[in-house]
Amino acid sequence: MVRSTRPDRSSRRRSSAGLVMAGCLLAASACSSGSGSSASSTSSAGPAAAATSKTAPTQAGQPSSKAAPTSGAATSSGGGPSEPAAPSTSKTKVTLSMVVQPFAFKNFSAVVDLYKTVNPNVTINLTQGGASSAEYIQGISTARLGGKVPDIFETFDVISDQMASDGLTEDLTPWLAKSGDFNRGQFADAFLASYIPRKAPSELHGLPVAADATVVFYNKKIFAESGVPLPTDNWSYATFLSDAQKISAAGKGKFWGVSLQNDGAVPPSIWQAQYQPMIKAYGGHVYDAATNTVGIGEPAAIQAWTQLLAPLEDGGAPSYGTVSGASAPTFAAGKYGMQISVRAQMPSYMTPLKADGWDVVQMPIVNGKHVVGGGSYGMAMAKDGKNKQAVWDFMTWFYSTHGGIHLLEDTYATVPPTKDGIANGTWKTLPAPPANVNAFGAAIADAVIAPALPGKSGAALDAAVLKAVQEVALQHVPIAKAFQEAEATVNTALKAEK
Amino acid sequence: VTQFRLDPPIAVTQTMASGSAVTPRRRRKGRRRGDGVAAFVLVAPNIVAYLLFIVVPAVSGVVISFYSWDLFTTPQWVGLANYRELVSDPAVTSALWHTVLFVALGVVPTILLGFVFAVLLDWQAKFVGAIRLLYFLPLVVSTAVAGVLWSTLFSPSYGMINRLLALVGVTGPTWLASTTWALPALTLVVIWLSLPLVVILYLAGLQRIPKQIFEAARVDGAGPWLRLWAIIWPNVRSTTVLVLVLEILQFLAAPFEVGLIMTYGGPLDATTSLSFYAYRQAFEFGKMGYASAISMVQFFALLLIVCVVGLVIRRWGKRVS
Repeated sequence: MVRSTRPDRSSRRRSSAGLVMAGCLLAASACSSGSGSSASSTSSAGPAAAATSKTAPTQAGQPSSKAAPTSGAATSSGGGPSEPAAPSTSKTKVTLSMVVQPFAFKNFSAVVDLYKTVNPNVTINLTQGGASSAEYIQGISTARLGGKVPDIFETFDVISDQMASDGLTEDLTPWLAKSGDFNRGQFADAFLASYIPRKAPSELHGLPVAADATVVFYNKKIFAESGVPLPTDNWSYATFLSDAQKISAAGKGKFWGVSLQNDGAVPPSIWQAQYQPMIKAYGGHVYDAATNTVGIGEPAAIQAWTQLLAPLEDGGAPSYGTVSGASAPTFAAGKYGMQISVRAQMPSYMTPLKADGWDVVQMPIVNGKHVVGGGSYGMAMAKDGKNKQAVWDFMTWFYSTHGGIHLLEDTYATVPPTKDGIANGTWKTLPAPPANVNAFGAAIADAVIAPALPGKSGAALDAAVLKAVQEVALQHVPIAKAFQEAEATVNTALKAEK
Repeated sequence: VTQFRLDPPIAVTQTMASGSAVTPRRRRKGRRRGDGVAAFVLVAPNIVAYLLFIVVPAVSGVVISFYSWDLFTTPQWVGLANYRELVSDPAVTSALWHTVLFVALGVVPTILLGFVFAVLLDWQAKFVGAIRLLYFLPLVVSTAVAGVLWSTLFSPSYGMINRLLALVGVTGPTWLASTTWALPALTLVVIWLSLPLVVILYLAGLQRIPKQIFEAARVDGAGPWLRLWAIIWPNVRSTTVLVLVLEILQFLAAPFEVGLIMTYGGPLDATTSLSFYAYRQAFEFGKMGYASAISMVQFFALLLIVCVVGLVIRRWGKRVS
């Protein structure tokens, strides 16, 4: 007979001791891993050490930041903004760090390479930041706390105010004031406005790189296979919805009418560049600075949301489940007839959709207006950077006659956000596709520019809209109920914002 | 001749034993001191790293939980305000529940599967090569890659899982967009990622069981099932305890990474664990103090789990005895 063989007493003692040790390990790691990387990042700058960081926001809001260029110049290649601006050649070797979002990485790699040929003494180490706003800001913030803030980094309309209030970005006003021909008057006001902090309206915390406005990209092959006539610039939103429905019906699960979100957006939501102009077209507003409230649950906004979410209901777009996850179907992969997007995304469509054929058309009309959302991404200088003069030299070169912005323009990635660039840029004369290049110019004129909400309430707006969209799409919660709750949530966050 | 030859060593031994009895003791003392220094030198880097990367951040976390701090401005002392806030925050309760679900759904299957795979490998069962490949694969795949890979497998339109289900006439759910199925789907991914370590630990445990016991069992006519239940399982008890604790840790931490990549805590926060919620509060909403307070809740929840597990194991041990 076989008896159960059990471990001896010593092995039992060992397992008890192991349990105690593991308990200690668990307890300690709960504190450190519980808030992800928060604890480790705060260890170097906890409350005790935060005295050093408290000066940053104070300075950011003070006109005395004019002193910054001088101090920046002292630590860099010498000379300040008073010296001749673009393009200057550095005599000493300087290495700069630069961070952009993944979509801009390829284009900026070419820009950095071009700058190396112009200014061989300056090396720019370009890296990618997070794809989502939250991850991107987190990366820059933690780099700064670790004393490794990138010298130059991408900023964009809806996060610019948060970056400024966090003391991450340098006020560029004094630099521009002393740069002679290169001045803020060259930029289109609508796009420059995104980089003016709410709490410091005399400052400027970034320069736009692209004048982006939404257009509808469409896949010619899918339209032909679906037997749907190609869209024209003066089409209505009803036609847009009906075309999407017809295409999805023809696609039978192989392709769909319209993608409601940008390619690769996880989790899928309705993009601000879609809902801002739609809500405005119905007479509502997203954010009212005077009352410091949002109106995404107001009756006008509910009408807008009903239109925006209609493709999910009528089959014009795939179900929410189909587009969830990292492997959702994309417009670039030829899975959609239409995609609402901006010029900055165009390079990612050009090669994969070459065989299918594609073009663009203006956004459809609602209540007599094209529902165009606009905005930009831009470049910012780190407030705590050590090579500010070298950064400024790069920025002035970037916007100069043979600078990087023209390289981006020639690779279809950008409509320059300058008055002259929008009106007379070479982007207008590039070979087709897109053939309907005027759609971009018209869109820029019609664009409703995204208002940046104060501080971190922009993140609350994103989260609340996502939650409401998911409630409607997955739990069939009435649109009015979902977005009224979302409005209340964001307004609470706005009140809490100091 | 033999006697003559043996004498000198005996004499030497006697001299050492009587004449200089202090020397070996001194040597032993010196050796012990030397061992102590060596041990300290070897352990010191780990202790420093542990203090620096675990203890200091943990203590900082406790301190920060009493402050309102957005990473950039001066922290403001708020006392217990963060704790009061989390008591009334329904999202914390929901995240705590999801954390418990991750642990409850994931730990036991991981241990059982790991044990079974290890036994099959140890017995050199058929298809052992395939099993070895299966359990080694997650070791060479990063969590990010695993997240993308499994997102593709879970895709409702062209994912492998729903296609396999369709073969047997089952319509698969929209895994990652379902408030019901997203959490089990992520748990499955974490199980897959966790298996290699569990299998390796069990394999090590199995190697330690004396072969004579198996021989005796065979002589007594014990079949494979009886050997598995009566010999192997009780003898890997200490391994099971270790694996249990490690897997509780794993299922508290890994859903954060996998959830970040595959679902971003959704849909509708259905896969938001406590650590993910703390992460969002810290970096999306700039509430470092609140995030730290949430981490403290996780700490006490862990402590509770460890105590309960310890109690259960002690009772189990007594019952087996």
